[in-house]
Amino acid sequence: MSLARSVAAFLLLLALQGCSGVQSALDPSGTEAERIDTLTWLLIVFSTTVFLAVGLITAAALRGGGRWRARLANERLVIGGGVVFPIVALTLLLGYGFYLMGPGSPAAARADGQLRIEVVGERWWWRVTYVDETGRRVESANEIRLPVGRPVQVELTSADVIHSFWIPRLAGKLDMIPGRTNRLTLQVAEAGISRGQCAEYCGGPHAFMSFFAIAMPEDQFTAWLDREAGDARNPSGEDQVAGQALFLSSGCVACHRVRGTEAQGTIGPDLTHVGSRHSLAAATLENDPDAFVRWIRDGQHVKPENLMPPYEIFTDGELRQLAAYLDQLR
Amino acid sequence: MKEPAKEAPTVSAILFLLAGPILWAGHLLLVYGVQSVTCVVGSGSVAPSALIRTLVVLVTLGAILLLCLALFFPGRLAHMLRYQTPDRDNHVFSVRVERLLILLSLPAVIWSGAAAFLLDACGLSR
Repeated sequence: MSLARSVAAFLLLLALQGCSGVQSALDPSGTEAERIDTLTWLLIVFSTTVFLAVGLITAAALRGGGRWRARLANERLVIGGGVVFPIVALTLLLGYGFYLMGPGSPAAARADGQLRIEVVGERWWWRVTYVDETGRRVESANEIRLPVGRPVQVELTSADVIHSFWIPRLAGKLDMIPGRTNRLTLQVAEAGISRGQCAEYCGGPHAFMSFFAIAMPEDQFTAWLDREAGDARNPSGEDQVAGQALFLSSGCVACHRVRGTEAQGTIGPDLTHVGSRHSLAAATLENDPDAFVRWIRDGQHVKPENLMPPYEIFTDGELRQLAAYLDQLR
Repeated sequence: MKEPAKEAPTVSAILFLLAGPILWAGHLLLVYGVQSVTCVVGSGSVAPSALIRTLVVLVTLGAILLLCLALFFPGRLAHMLRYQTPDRDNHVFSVRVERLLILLSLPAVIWSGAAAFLLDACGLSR
């Protein structure tokens, strides 16, 4: 196989990676993403058909001889293919687009108002607050949990620069603009994990501003939200207790909140149940004690320019104790 | 050999032939501009949708009027743009191309304007 063919095959394999997975718009799991997927395939098939037709006409004009050229130069073909066909085809496509995007679309998800999720884009993480029908507010970060089958309204804004909220498997992207609240309705079709990403360049670690959206059956979601609303678990082991003491005495409390403790900072992510999340540092690291150690000591290498200063004051043992404490916050 | 002095200026030719798409592009720019600015400036106490629809209708009617003038009076447009071709075949060809492109642009302008009535004016700011 020649080098060019090898490179082409490699690039094709790379491109195929986008056809599925937790962040693929071509593998939809939400109502709006399914509408987008349908429209995407319709446009791809339509465009390919037009492209092939134009290619065939061009080939016939170049190689078909005088008879073909005379046929192709016929005014009926020029007006039919150049004016009538585009008007009819694009009118139909536009009508279908209006039908999909308009308020009368039967496929459009409508939030029932029982659950609202406020998401604030921060540099470079996500502040997430669940507001249920009783007005109870539950703050979390860098992860969104959704009940399967129920349309949920997500309110999006930003605290600093323009971000963009995009979970390709669930819906199209929507900008998060300081001083403005944009609303998106998410309805997930099946339980599972999807990955979201900031889709608007927002500064240095923009590429590391991601999150996971976890869809759960209704009963599991309700139980999870009740647990999430509760205070942090008290540490029990020796390392965990020592870790908590370090956390409360080393400046972490200035930025982070752990409900049920003296830590009431609001600058950084709420850590009350950080150990139960699917990832750390906005989907940059796995969530385990080693990742906590790495983040606290070496966060600027993990996510360059992030706003948490590196903590090089801790010994390896102290880092292990801190990690043990944070990991048990479930 | 052709005399350059008798050839129509290239810019004039482009403006004449592409009058339809140029007006279409201008209409699209105005519609999007009006919609975006009004949505940003309009507050909750004002209903920007009605204002946007009114402005879009005015801009769309203006664009349709200009397109119709260019469609039915290509000679005047050519004169205004100083697009003169001594060759009659060239002239006929130019006018037909200009008219076909205007016929394509007219529905595009109408559909762009119709979007103001079919979609929520400020619901989404993607």
